Amino acid sequence: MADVRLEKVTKTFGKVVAVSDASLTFKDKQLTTVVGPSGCGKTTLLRLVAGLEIPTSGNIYIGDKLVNEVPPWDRNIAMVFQSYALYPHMKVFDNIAFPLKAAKCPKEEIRRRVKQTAELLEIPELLERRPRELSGGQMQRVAIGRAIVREPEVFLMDEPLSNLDAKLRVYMRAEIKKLQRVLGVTTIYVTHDQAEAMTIGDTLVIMNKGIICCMGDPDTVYSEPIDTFVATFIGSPAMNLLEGDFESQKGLFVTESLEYKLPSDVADVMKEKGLSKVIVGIRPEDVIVSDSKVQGFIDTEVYMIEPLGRELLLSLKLGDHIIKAITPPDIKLKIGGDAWMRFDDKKLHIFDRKTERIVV
Amino acid sequence: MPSLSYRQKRLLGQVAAYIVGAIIIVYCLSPIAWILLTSIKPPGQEIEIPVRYIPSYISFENYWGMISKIQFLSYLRNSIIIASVTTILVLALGSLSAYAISRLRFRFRTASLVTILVVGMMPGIVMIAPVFFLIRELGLINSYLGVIIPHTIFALPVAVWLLASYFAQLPFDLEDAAKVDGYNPFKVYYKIIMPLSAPGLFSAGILAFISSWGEFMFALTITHDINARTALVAIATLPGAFHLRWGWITAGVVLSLLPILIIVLVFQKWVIQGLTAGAVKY
Amino acid sequence: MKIKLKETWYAYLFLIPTFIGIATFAFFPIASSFWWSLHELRYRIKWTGMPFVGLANYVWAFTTPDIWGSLGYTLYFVAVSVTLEFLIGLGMALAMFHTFRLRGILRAVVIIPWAVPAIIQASMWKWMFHPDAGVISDILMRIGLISRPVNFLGEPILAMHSVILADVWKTSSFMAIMLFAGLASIPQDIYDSAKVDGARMWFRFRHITLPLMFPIILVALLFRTMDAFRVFDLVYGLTGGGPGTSTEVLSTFSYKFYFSYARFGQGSTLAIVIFLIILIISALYIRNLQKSLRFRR
Repeated sequence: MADVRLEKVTKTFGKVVAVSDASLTFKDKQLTTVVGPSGCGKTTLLRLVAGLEIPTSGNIYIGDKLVNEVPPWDRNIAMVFQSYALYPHMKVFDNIAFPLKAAKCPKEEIRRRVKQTAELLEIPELLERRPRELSGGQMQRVAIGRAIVREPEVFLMDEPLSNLDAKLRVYMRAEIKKLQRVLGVTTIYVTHDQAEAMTIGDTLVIMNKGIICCMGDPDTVYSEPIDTFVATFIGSPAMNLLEGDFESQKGLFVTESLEYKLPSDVADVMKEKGLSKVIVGIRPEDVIVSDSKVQGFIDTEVYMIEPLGRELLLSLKLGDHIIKAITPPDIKLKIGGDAWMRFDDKKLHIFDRKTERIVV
Repeated sequence: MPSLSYRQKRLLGQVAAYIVGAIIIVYCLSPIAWILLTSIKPPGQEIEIPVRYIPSYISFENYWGMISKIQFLSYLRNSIIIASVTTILVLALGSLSAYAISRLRFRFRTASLVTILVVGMMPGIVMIAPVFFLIRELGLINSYLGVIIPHTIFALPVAVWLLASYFAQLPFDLEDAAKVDGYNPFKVYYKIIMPLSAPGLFSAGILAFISSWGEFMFALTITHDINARTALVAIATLPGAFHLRWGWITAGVVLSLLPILIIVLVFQKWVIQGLTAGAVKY
Repeated sequence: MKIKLKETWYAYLFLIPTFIGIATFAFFPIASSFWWSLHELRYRIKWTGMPFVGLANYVWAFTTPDIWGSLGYTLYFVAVSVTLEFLIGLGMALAMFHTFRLRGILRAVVIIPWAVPAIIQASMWKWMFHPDAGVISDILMRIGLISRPVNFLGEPILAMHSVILADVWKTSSFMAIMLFAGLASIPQDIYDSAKVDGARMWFRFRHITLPLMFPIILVALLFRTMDAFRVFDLVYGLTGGGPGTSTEVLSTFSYKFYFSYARFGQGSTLAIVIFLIILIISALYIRNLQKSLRFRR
């Protein structure tokens, strides 16, 4: 099968830089998710790999072939679109058969392969229907069917689940991951939903404003974010970020409303690097909260309580800061009352404006 | 020939399209350009063998001749008046009918629309003679009204079709809101639907104007002389009567084209909207 | 119940003026024409009464070679004209679609031929086809295709094709506008998908563009066919039916019977024939529009 490799690929539309100097490899047989906020360039990246856009500079390789000048129809790839892009005037059978017809496959073989694909996706009964008679989930399967029937080298998916309702989306996530494992085809999956990216991807690629921030497996990206953007983008609710100063003598992190003693190993590294202005990050689930006063905990005011069923999302007010915390539901707190909290020292993230320095 | 890369092929395709675009511009504008050119030639230069393209100097004598000797402006005036009144009538009657068909409930909805549409497709020739006699009985021969009435009837179908499509797209809760205040369809029509329909009315109005301005058969038959003859008919019939020079005729053509071209160019968005209304459906 | 009744009354009220107008100036005249076609009616020669001749006029019509000739010319005109304007219009629409920057200008330019009234167009082309000083002859001579100016409107076969050329100039731009709207209504997504699926340009055109444009192509073709059958202004202004009878389409022929020979019976017969042809085509046309005539509410 095939790797997809990008070397310093840049794409500009007039003055707008959509993708800037992207260099990465999508590993063979893996499902890689490309995730980022709207407008970050991920769809453009996908279209570049597809051949629907031509890079302004840089090289794209599929397998070992340089494909910059190869048109989409010669690239042996398949794509599933956010809007499914089913051909409205054709029956489902013909929709799925379309790529085979374009490749001039003999009729019998087309029939066989389409049927096979339909059965794999559990939609054989829909073959005679037209797209407008189908539900969202059904249309999606047809779109996927059309993509896999060709047995391409690469699958490209552009937010395929965005138009489905929440429950169906969760179900389809698992189905798509299963399917990819079975077929073993290199897949590039684009989404703006970070939860989706985390569950579905073997590898994550995070993009922001046309630049690739980082790449790695979900766990690493989650627990060791490379900068504040990744830290707040991945994980919901987002990581708490506190901007303040580091007092190296006492090993304290100081803001207008807070003085926090950093663990000694962390403080030492920070002293070494001579940091002074830092951002401390801590995820809501790593904030320890107690409803009664405990030695060493900081007194805060309960600003908001949002019950989420199996846990509580608290907004704690400390001076200018609002710190979000997640706690089990049996904690006894009320709005306006006090709560005592501290950070899990093993889970602190220190950032120097942009760059991550110390982990955990 | 070496096989072209993808990038080069795309470029070639673009270039070809632009070349065709240029050809289209020449194709569409050249006849008019030629007429314009002829009309500004000094008298005597328009018919020269071999054909002379650039006049030695620009002269508006042809225009002056048309205006003073033939009183072409009167014919233009007739055209303008007839087309304007027709437009107003068409919009009034057409919007009422379109409103009824698209938003009121009654038994003969489809039938009414179909009937009106069929009328729009009838060849003028089958109606010209009886209409001629009818107009004569009414004493309207050679008068504005005599032309306005048939023009209105012919422009109604397109207007009704267009306006009905347009009205059908407006939200239906408007009527429900009116029902609360005591339901009077006429009030709904007058106070609610009409103000919201400016674009649709514009398109329909412009199409009606163009249709009346360009109508020939009836204008020819019903009018005799300068009192009511339209500019178009004048262009067609006067050359024979006055042994006109081509310079003058082309000047007349330009004068008759000017109003319509200005309107079409300024309002092209509405024209195109009107033409394609309801024709593109999935 | 009350509201429904009220609505119905108002609907009728709104429609009555229109229908009165249509009844008087459309239905009644058509009926009259039909009535006249069944009679012998020579108006000019002192009112010789109006003897009923039943279908004799129709028999005359179908046995007179002139009429068949006229029908032939009309059919030829329709067939060639509509085909040409469709092809040229399609080409124009495609070019308009693929040139992004020129689109605005092209749209404005393309509207112009359509907006030119037919009779003006007749005058314009008459001048361009002028036997001695016509610009068309001149250009052809300068290119070297011919050696002497050609009298386009004076030679029988040439005249018909000149008329067709003039007509196509105007109507191909109408086609272009409609076909462009059809092209523009196809979502870009679908083309992207087809490209990735392996479809090259011609394959995309045949299997996606054309089928999706089919409804509007049909509408435009039917409409134009109907229009072409009714042609009057252009022919009247350009050739008056001549030279001889080589461009005598049905409409102008019928008109001559009315207002030149004053033989209203025969004129009406021809008119009714045209009417019936148009009726059939318009039935097809309306059948096609039926789909978009669905009403909510």
